[in-house]
Amino acid sequence: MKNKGSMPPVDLPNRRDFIRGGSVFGLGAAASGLVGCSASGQISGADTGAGTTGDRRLFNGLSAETSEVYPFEYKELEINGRRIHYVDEGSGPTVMLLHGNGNWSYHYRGVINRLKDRARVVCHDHLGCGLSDKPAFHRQYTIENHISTLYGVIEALDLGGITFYCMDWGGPISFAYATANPDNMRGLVIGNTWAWGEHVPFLRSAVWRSRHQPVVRPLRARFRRDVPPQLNSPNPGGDWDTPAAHEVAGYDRRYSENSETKSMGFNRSTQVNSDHPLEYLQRTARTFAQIEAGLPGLQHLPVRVVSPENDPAFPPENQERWRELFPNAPPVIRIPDSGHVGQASELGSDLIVGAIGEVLDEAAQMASVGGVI
Amino acid sequence: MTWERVDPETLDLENHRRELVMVEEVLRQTAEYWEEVRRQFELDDNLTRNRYLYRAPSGGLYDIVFVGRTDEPFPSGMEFWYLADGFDQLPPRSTINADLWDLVRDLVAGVEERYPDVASLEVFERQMSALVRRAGDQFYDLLRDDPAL
Repeated sequence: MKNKGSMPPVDLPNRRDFIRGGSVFGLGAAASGLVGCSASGQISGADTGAGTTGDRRLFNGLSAETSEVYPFEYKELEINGRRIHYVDEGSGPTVMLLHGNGNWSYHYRGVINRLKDRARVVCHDHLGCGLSDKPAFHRQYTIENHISTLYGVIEALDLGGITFYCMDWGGPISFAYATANPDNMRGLVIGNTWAWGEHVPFLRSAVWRSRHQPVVRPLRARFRRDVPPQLNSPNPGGDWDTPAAHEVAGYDRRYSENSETKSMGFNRSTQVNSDHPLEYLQRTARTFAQIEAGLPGLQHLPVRVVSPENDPAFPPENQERWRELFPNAPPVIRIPDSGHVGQASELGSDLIVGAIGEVLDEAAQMASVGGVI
Repeated sequence: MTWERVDPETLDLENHRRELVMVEEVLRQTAEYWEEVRRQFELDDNLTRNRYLYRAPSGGLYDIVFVGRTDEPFPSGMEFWYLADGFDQLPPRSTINADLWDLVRDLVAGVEERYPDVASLEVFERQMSALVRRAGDQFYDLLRDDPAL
């Protein structure tokens, strides 16, 4: 165990904070036709047959081509009154994959397929993304509510000894849990992400802010409907113009038809500070500060940093900051010729699975010599 | 603002229907924009202000509705409704987009000197699209000139 005792005496976020800060019941559950909720948070919907599982892919409109490369059993939980879709494949130590804005579990299909023989791989679609509910209200999409959803998944599935892989918004969401629950963590594989209030330059830039300003942002969303779904192609300089049919269908499932609402909810939360004119975004600023303060308390964990080398949002210096926070981590593993969602490529999946395997091995080794993992 | 303000009392709207074309739920995301909207549309905390419709450059008639919430200063959001005659179809999406761009141009120009017109925003958008596709030197060149950093 390394540096476990160095965690500063800060007021870390806890589950009750996030639950209290988040729940808005009603629209999503009513719209999805769910009826009833067990004590564990699992649904007993009349239209789901087996309750939490069943083949709802057709119901949710996945094409045959997409289902072929994303062959995972459909599963869902009711959390905060919303239907949350998740993948739960394989057995072994628990690995949770946290996607970001504009993504859903489809982007991790390669990682899941490669890893499920070695680990139990759990990956849920954040609210508003993939096959989860998509409430229409912008203010529902706070980071606190996304964190609460993560708590709900972990508690409903009784997950322990967790290793996270996270990218983009999956970073602050997963680190909020990890910093408040270090004893339930086994390891960390950090992608192109951040977990501090002083955001990376991209998110503070006029470029970014202007795109998400009031009125400008929803208007841009009207134009973006004309943008093909391969926007999230993992190799922006490569197969951008020639996506496979399953990719077009799969990437297009990231949001619903009114995608601007969901995207705004994530993106606008990057423009926060403690004196923001909206109270609920002041809270987000505090959440980021709490997460950042808790990061040193995770230095005892095995850590790897894996990042696409051409991601404009999280350039190399951002990943080096992770190395500074986790000085015992090996050098950053770079996914060559990859943009923001490089983890969806074949090579990206290979490298991420390799890093997760190293973390699992290191954690097992630490446990065998008397560590706390 | 190149949109023309129209007194609804001067129009025969009995046969019109309303189509929602855009919503801004969180106007106070940025205080500067919120203040500029209040200034341009002559809003204050008195919600009983006179109601106007707006004629866009294309000739389309719009109702801009300002939404209030009890937990935020007024207005908290905006709704943009197109007023169509009878069962007539809306004009092409590109026409409505152009109308809305025209409105945004003035709002943005009122807040950010960096983007004084639609053309600069469109250039900006093309730059960003290119950057998402191909990161690298172009991206850093853009950041280097960013006054916010």
